Amino acid sequence: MALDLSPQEASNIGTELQPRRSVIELRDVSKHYKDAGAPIVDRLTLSISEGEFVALTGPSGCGKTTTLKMINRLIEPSSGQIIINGQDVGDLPSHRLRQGIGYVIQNVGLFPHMTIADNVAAVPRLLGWKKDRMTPRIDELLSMVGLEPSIYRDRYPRELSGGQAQRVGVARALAADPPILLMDEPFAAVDPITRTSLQDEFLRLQQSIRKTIVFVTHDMAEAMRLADRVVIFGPQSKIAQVGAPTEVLSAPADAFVASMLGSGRLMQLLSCVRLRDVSLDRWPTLAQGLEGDERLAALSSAKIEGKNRVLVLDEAKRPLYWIYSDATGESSKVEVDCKLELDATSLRDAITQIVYCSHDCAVVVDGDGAFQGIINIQGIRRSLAPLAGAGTSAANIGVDK
Amino acid sequence: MTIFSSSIDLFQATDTAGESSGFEPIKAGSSGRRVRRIGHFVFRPLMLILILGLLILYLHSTPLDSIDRRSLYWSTIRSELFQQLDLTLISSAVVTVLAVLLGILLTRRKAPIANSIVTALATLGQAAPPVGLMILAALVLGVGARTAIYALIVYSILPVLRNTVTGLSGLDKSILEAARGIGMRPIQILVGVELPLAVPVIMAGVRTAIILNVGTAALATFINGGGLGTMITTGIAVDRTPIIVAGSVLVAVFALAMDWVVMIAGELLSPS
Repeated sequence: MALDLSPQEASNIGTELQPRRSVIELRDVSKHYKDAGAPIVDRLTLSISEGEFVALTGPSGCGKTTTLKMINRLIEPSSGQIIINGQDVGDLPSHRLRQGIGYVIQNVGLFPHMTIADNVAAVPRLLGWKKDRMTPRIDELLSMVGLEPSIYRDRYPRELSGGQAQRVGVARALAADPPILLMDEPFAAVDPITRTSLQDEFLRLQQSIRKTIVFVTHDMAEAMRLADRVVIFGPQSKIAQVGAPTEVLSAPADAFVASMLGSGRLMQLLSCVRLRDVSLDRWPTLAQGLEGDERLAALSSAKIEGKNRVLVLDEAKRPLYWIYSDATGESSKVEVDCKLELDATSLRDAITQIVYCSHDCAVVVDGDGAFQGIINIQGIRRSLAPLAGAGTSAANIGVDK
Repeated sequence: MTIFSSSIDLFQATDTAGESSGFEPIKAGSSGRRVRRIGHFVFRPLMLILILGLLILYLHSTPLDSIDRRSLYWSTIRSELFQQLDLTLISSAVVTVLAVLLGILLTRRKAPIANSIVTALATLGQAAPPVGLMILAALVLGVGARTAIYALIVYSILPVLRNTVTGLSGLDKSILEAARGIGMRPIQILVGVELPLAVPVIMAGVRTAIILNVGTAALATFINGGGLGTMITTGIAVDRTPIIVAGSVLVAVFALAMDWVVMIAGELLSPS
């Protein structure tokens, strides 16, 4: 990470990055077709851990979809090995392998002659589930993807909008609770508004189901928004860069990756970086209930730091209000009007809030509402400073070099 | 954050709104179609009954001699009707089984060349004039109903074969990809997805085959195959207009009745 992290936050990230079991492993995998000269996938090696959301992205014809389809053997690799949970995918009959892997495609591919319930139950039926197990599972899945079971269960696919159809597509893929989900441009065929809401909902769903997801998209912004890790395919089917979205956005490996990311990449970066990933500024605080001399002392020591106010906290360290000192030494209370949550707020949201905030800075709190520090435009600039050197697009948001 | 979450709600609202408004025309359209369809179903039998009534009226108002009567006995007509039915149903059933199996084989992967060869042969069968086909078959296999059925099979295999191939190869590729992707085996995809979805197209082909056969079966009489055509040939041989009229009308009514039955069967079989 090219972001400057406080030791405490760095250790947080450390625990997250503890080596997890690798679920999908591609070893030297290649695919070439007889009539084509260059291989479509060329000696690809990639390891995907349990619960990880990996996006494969790149220009069309770069081999990202081929790579995905080789994982469930819709396409057989020409050479190399694909290992899922320690087992070579070639060891299983292909239909058995696929029954254990969720698969979602761009055009959804619902069976038009079956009801929504029958579509969702397709895999459990193949696995020979009993009806009394299947029916509650169908309802659970439909509610999970935001479709009311009593309304949609008995409808036919042609009665659904594009967004609803893809929800059913996701439900069908999740029906037998496979640990792995392969998704091929799942949100590309719906309109931008529906796409955004599907993406949001899918992210929320993934928070609770924690599947290992391999996701193909040509849309860089979508990859950055959704994935934990992004694999960017370059020309000649080589991997141009692999990394977390913040890594890729802050330090594109080469001119090709930079051009794929486009000019808005610092704005994308701001969306990817959360407040917990950056160092916050400290601010003088004062416990609630302290009056007179202690308050004056706090205000004057704040003044030495060049700050004209202190933040009053309650017993649980929750911010209550600001106390200003004016020229005559009198003090006045002002409400805290801009509170941001550490885990939930991206830098992009933070900037928007600070612009409208009356104190040029926002108070940052954790999930319990306890004060963590403040963030202002200077602080955001400072966090971005290490990144600004990495790309010319820094100028887009006026970051100081 | 509040801005964001409220905008998400807005998105969902538009999503559902778009869906419900997209609904109405489909429903209205399908109910309108249903009314038209029911009209179609009821109109045909009424028309046929009317035609038969007119025929009976005509025969009663015409003086008939003993030769006429012998050909117009109900028992004679009934046995010819059953022969006609046998010829039609047996040939059509064999054609359906043969052509659908062949069509399935031809649409599996790696069969595009076989596909064009078989289709060319089937086209040849249909292009040959049916009377010629009947007589050629009789020269090779001898006269009789069995030979007539072979000729009918050769004559009517093309529409079923062509429609089976079209129906199976015209399916939405993403449906088949999804079926493969969720782990269905090829035979499960064929039986559970491909054939049910291709039924309307295949049934249209079967219907065409039955119509061809029901008409052509009237020619079986030339090779001693029986059927309603016998009335017409008898009528011509003994020069009796009432017999010719009765035979022709019955052949036509029978053909239209069969067409009606097949149409209804197709409606019942195809996915709603």
